Amino acid sequence: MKANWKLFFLGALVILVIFPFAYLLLLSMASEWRFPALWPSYFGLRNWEQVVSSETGLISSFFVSTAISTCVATMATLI
Amino acid sequence: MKSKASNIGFIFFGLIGILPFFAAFIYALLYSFGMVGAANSGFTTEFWVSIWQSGAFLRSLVYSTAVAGTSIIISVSLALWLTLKFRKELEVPFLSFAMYLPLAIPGIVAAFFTFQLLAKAGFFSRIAYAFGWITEARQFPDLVNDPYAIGIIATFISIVTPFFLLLFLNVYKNERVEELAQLSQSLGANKQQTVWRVSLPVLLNKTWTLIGLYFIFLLGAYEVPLILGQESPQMLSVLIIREIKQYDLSRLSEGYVVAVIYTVIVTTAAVLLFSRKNDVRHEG
Repeated sequence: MKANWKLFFLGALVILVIFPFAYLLLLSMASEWRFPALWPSYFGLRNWEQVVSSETGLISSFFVSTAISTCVATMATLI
Repeated sequence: MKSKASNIGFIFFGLIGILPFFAAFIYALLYSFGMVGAANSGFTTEFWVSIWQSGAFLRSLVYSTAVAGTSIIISVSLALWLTLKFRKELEVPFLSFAMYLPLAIPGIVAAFFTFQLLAKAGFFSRIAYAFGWITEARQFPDLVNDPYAIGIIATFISIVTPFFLLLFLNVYKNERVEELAQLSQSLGANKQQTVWRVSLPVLLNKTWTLIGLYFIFLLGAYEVPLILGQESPQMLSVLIIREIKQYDLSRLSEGYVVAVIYTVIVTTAAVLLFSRKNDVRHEG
């Protein structure tokens, strides 16, 4: 009984950890999701296609972020 | 050779870590007294008096302290409970990996996620509607941008608890708390006495400096209270940036006054934390 309770709790904890990632993925693929609908009326890759095709600064900001974090991590470790 | 390398490291630390911070502090101090800035004409204490009389800073300081304190107390308690109850289960590779995952979520994304869940038209509001608990969105309770900072505290807890959990699990292993607990039980202590007199004191004694530093970090958090906070009182960083970024140049100096007071409080707290830690070491 005690082991079952622990298993149940840990299962809930794992769901709690994974849920934000799954929900954010769902949000990124959803549009026209008005209250009080539980499910978006469109679900697909439209948002992703739009971002990749129109956001010109996306790749450059990704590289800038990577460069800054690598630089900070390296300097902080060395110092 | 080693001392030469450590000297270079120290110089680098001074140049990169301390000098810019110190220069920014002096600039903010001069700005707060009207000695720098296009709209200022010379030394004055009017900005300090104005901030003191408006009470905005004090309200903001009390509000930030309450939010950061509540978040830290709940997170540390939760992490301690999980460590003491589930330490064996959390050694399973998949579970320990799952516990690391939330640390990868930036504050701004966590705040956005909380907003999507708890807002009046958010996920939980939709579920409440589907179950018939509410009939329109505005009946859903205020959980974000609310006076009790529920959204901010919930987000802080979700970000901070995994960090403390991993910290406590490591300390539990490194300080051999398991062996100490067994020893105390073999000497006649019951389970409760072991937890309160042995395990918890060892875990907290080894981590309280980090807990204090994390409290200071939450005190100055910006993105989460910016997205999930209310209009007034605001958390300190949000208040500072609001004052500094506004179009009215004459009020810029008031922002710097708040920044200076905040820096002094945080630096004093950090110095006190570390000096007490060193004292404990010397006594030990």
